[in-house]
Amino acid sequence: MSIQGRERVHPPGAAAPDQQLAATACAESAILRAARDNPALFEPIYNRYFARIYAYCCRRVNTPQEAEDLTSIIFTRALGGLDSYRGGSAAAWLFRIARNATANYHRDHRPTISLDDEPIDIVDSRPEPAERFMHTEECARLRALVADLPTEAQEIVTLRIYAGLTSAEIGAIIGKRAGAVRMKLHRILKRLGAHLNEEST
Amino acid sequence: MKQPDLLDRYITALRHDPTTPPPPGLDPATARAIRAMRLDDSPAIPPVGARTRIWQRILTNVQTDQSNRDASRDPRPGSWYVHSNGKHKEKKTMQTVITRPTALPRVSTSTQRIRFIRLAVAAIAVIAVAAILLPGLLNDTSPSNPAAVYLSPQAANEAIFERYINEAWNAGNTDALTDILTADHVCHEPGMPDMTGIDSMVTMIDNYRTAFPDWQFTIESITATDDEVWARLTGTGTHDGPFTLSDDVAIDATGNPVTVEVMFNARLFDGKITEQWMQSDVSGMLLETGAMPTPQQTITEARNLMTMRRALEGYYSGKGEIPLERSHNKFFMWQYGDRYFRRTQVNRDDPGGLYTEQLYNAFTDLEMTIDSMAATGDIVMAKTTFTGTLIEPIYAVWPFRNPLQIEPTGEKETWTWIFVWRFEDGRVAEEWWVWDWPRVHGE
Repeated sequence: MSIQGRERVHPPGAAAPDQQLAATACAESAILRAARDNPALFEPIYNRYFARIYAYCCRRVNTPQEAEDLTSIIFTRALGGLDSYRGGSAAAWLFRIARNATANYHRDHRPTISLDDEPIDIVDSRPEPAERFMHTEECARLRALVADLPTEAQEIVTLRIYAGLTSAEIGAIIGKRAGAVRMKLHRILKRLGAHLNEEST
Repeated sequence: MKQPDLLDRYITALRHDPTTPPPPGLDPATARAIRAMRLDDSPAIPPVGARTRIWQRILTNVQTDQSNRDASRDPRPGSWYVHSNGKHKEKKTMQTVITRPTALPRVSTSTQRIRFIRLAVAAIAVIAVAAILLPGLLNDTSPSNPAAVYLSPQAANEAIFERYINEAWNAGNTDALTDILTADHVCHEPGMPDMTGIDSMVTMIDNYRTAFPDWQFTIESITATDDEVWARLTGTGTHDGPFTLSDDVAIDATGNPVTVEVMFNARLFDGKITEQWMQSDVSGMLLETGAMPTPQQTITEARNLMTMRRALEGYYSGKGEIPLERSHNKFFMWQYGDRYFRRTQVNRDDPGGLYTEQLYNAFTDLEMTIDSMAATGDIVMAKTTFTGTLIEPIYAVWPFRNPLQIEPTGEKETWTWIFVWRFEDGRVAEEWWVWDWPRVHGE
């Protein structure tokens, strides 16, 4: 790096990744504490995590309506339980609530088949119909395989791949070390991949 | 890299770019599964308007929960412990009847006792832990350890800069600079060569603290971005030691208090200051130390210089405001003496004037040229060259106890005459001069 010149390592206005993480954690922590007195202040956290929580819910329930209901339940619990936030990753705290709320939801809503409920549509934006069909079919097979996994394995897959949590955050939620989470995820995916290969052949 | 770590890295990469190819070495079956999962994220896209709609539902839910909690709160705390088991008859109001079962379930006396013991044990444990940890936590959150607390990049940069000012400049702890500045740090200051490396900053700070042992910077305002800090500071100190300006020039202590305004712009990299620009009112500081004349001093010196030039030219060469005429020499001297010299001096003996008269009598073609002049403070000096042909006798010195009379030679003489005048209020109060007398009389 040139000292005399004004070269920047990061783009103007952008912080280093570790600084960004620290800043994000700091801001989220401050927001969550402030929201204890004024729930409206929680909105930035909601906006930031809504898509991830919704994606998580979509994988844990059967219909879009259920996903919306569950999302609203999760955020309502989070807002009502701000006192339980003890600092650290807001994502880990939020998804811990999501996990418990989902478990409760499944307990309260035993699996039923309703003719009124519209199943979640698989909307695929890929242009080629043949490729689209193949992917759709593979995705459907994969979902069926994931649904057969034990609950904790489903949790790990959903939190890591669909909700985008880090291994450390997942570890904080399910009570395992980050390394153990990575190891378990690898085993699960390897097994799923092997099943897909078997079915293809 | 191990397979789980490869996979973890691949999942992270896919979140940023779904077209990322699998890393070499990752098991193909695993890569296939993860790609299929990532491609299957379409159903997870929330419908249009879902975010706002759900947020409204959440706020309504929270308000409802809050209302329920408020309604279920018993206005008489003491009645929580009133039992309706016959011994203590509970007052049955409408409110207790409605809210009791959901809000506050009754607890037995034994349960209460156990809870009390648990609470007491927990409280003691909390106090003990706090007593052990609190001092450490307080230390960790001091500005000297900014990494111990979560700080925004801007706040972290401000903390680093404040540490630079407080520790290095104000406390003189230049050892801390290795933690604050990068090894290739550069400091720019207008009119000065760039200072590169930590050692040059150590030298600079040491110089300031030697010259001004009580040097203190006060941060008047500070603002930071992700990689820069801007600050306006006021520096104060007493000039009690030599202030080094260059390798061979230092201003000796004057004891004067100095104040200087400084603008700092520092660029940070990786938690350290890597480059800084200082814009300080050095002129003001040099004025205060007395190393540089004030504008008023400069004007006074220029005026004294001008006065001396006019007086000398008027006296000796007739180039002044009033042309010198031999026959009016006496008048001329009084005229100029009154204007340029303090009256007491003129009225006393006016030796210069008398001697000038002798000079003009002895050297008919006397001429004077001012070679150079200089003014500093209340002193003005002039080096002059006189020429003239000695045609009349002249006395060597004045006043004469044993006057040495030099006989006229009829030759053209040239000699140097140096004048030193001290001014008071714009007029000459004292005069010293020396001239090459032996040359005049031919030795």
